[in-house]
Order: sequence, then C-alpha cells, then structure tokens
Amino acid sequence: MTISKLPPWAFTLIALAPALALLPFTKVVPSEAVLLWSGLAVFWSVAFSCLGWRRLDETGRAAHISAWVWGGSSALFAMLIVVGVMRTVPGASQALVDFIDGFSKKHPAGETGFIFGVLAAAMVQAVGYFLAWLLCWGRRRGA
Amino acid sequence: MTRLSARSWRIIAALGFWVLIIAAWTVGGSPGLAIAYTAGAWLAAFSLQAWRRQDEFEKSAQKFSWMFGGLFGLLISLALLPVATQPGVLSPLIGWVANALGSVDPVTPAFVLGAIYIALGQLVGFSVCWVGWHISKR
Repeated sequence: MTISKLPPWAFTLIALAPALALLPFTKVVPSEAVLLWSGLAVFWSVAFSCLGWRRLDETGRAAHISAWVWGGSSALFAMLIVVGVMRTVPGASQALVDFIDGFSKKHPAGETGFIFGVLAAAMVQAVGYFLAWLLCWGRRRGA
Repeated sequence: MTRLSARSWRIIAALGFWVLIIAAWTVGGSPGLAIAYTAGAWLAAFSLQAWRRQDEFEKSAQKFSWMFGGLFGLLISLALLPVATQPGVLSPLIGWVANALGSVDPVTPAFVLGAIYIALGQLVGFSVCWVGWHISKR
C-alpha cells in the first residue's frame, strides 16, 4: 500500500506519532533536544494532517469542523474557568504547584508553570474536540 | 431586543466582555475573578444569541475561521514559545497576572498566563482569518 492510498485515520496516526513518541523521554532528554523535537513534531503533524484532510469527504470534514468549534471552544472556556477556581479554592492549586516543582528542577517555577498552562489548555481543548467528534459520529451512525 | 441583528449581538458580546475584563483586571483579587467569570458568561450568552441570528454564510465564516485561523494561531503560539519564555518577557507578565490575581505562589499565575496565552493566540488567528474570509468573499 502506497502512502497516497492510506485512509485519513492512518494519516492522523502518522501525524501524532513523533509527538507521542517523545512523551516517555521528556525527563531524560536534554531540554534543547526536547524543544527541537517538539518543533519538528509540530511541522510533521501539520503536514500529515493536511494530507489526511485532503482525503476526507465532506461529511468527515464537517464533523471535524463542528467538533473543533463546539468541543474545542467549550473545553477551552471550561479550562479558563477551572484555572480561576484554582485561585479561589484554598489549596486547590497546591497539587499542581507540587507537581510542577517536582517535574524539573532545571527551570524556574514560573517558566515551568507557564509551559504547563499552555500544554494543559491545548490538551484540554484537544480532549473536548475528540469527545465532540465522537459524539458527532455517534449521532450520525445512530440516525 | 429580540429583533437585534447578529452584528448587534456580536458588538454587545464583545464590548461587554472587554469592559468587564478591564474592570476585573482593575479590581483584582477574588472580586476581580468574579467579574471575569461574569465577563465569560456574558460573552458566551450573547455570542450564542448572535450565532442563532446569523445566516449560513456567516456561520460558515465563523466555523472556518475558528477551525483554520484558530489552529494556525495555536501553532504560531506554540512556535513562539521560545520567545515567550525568555525571562525578560515572561517574568513581568507573570508579575502582572500575580498582582491581578493576588496570588502568592509563582506557579498559579504562570499557569493561568499559559492558558490565557493559548486562548489569545487562537483569538488572534480567528480574527485574522475571519477578516480575510470576508475580504475574499465580498
């Protein structure tokens, strides 16, 4: 099977592979290498996501767009509410503070907290998008 | 009020949101946070109202812009992380958020700033794409 014959979901897996492959090694690999790998992984995932998008039919594209608009934005909104709750509920942020402090002693707590905020927002959004996408397909199959 | 156009609802949503956010930032602490939540609820409520009033052309513009513009903004935000995490850039911003939140530990305001950074990046990407869509289609 040549790459041009692959189904869209296979392109999604290929797109995500380098980013997921890095996760177990983030603590042992030097941070400069992690940064370089992450940058390359972003370019890789964009390229293969575009290839996967081109192979999708209109129904599949509409499902992705709706999922990102409703699932992604709702999740991002919820994330911003949660970070506010962390501030108001006493001790709610302590688990996060401890986790970030324990994650890497090489970087200042503020810098690590910022990166975790960025990643958490992006990941929560991706989860919201994925759940909405599943819901979208579930509805269409049920109809 | 129910006869207002989608554009009017959008203007009400955006103006009210930014006025409340500025008020939240000025007041600071827990009352400021309560105002920020109100701003979020305001934006969600009036944006949904605008969405209902929009025609399919406008809905397509917003969906397309949020999907491609938002994603592009997200990627640009990630690509700019090495710049954003420079101590000269990050420390004053964290201090700014810490003052507004009245926070004592350095992690919580940094975490909040990270989440806001991602949301703002997408908002900028969305806006650029939305304007581009209208210029190209009209």
